[in-house]
Amino acid sequence: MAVAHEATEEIHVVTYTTYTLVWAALVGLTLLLSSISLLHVGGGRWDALAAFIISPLKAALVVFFFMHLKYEKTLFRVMLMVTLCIIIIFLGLTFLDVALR
Amino acid sequence: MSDVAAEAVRAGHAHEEHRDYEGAKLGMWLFLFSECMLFGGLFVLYAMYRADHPRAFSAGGGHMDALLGVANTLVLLTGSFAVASSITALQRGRRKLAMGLVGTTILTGVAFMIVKAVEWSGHIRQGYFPHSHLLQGKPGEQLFFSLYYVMTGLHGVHVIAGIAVLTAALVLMARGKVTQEHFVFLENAALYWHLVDIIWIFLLPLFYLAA
Repeated sequence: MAVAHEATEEIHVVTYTTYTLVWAALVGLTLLLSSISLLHVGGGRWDALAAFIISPLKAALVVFFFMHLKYEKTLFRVMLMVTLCIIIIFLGLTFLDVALR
Repeated sequence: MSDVAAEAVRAGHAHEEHRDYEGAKLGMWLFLFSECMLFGGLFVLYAMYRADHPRAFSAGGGHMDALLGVANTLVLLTGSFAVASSITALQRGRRKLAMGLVGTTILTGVAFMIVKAVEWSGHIRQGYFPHSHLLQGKPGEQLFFSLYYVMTGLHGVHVIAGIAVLTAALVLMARGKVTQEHFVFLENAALYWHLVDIIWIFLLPLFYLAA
């Protein structure tokens, strides 16, 4: 049959409520990150820490919910992990090279 | 009799379009990973130069309008929210709503680019660009602004590409080529848009909140 091919492969329809909650969380995290940074909370000590924690958290929300990774097969998650590992190795080895030059 | 049956089978095959939903998405994700490596290289470069010139990067961040950066982040996040919701709308058979949501995302992309244009022209008018008189003898800030223009510029190119892809999705929906049953084009267009959003999530603290 030519019709309903995609519909027959288990499609997970994400609800508007889920998207709205994720969007609200993203906006909240953005405002939290920028206020920590712009108001120099704790004399600027938290700036880097906030950026290192909040930005990946926001990216994860986008990847898992908006990009449906939560509902995809394991293969997609494995591919993402491989990509992240390559970037971390790239960053780590470059840092070592620069630091020990 | 068997000839008739064979004919019917052949006719049936001729009408059947080959579609690979899973494969189409997998291909898009692979492309997005290659994009991650492209931007990843620039992020590594930023990390190295920032480690070398921490004060200059902080000074460079001081010349940014952080509020514009935050506003643009909220604009992109809202666009991502709209295009994600458009898939749900289409899957539930609400084509008009889906088209409206994609249209909203396109508008957020245009708004983002307008803000970006205002920012860039402001910086260039004030003399904040590589090899300007203002930045003479300040190698760290020169690097900061070089990276700023390259990274936000490359991101801007992606925003423009995203607008083009979403416009194509809108046209295909209007023509009935992207439908409740066959929505993978919209899904892939949305994936691309979300990647553009994710890159900006990281650009915000690197440049606008660097002070």
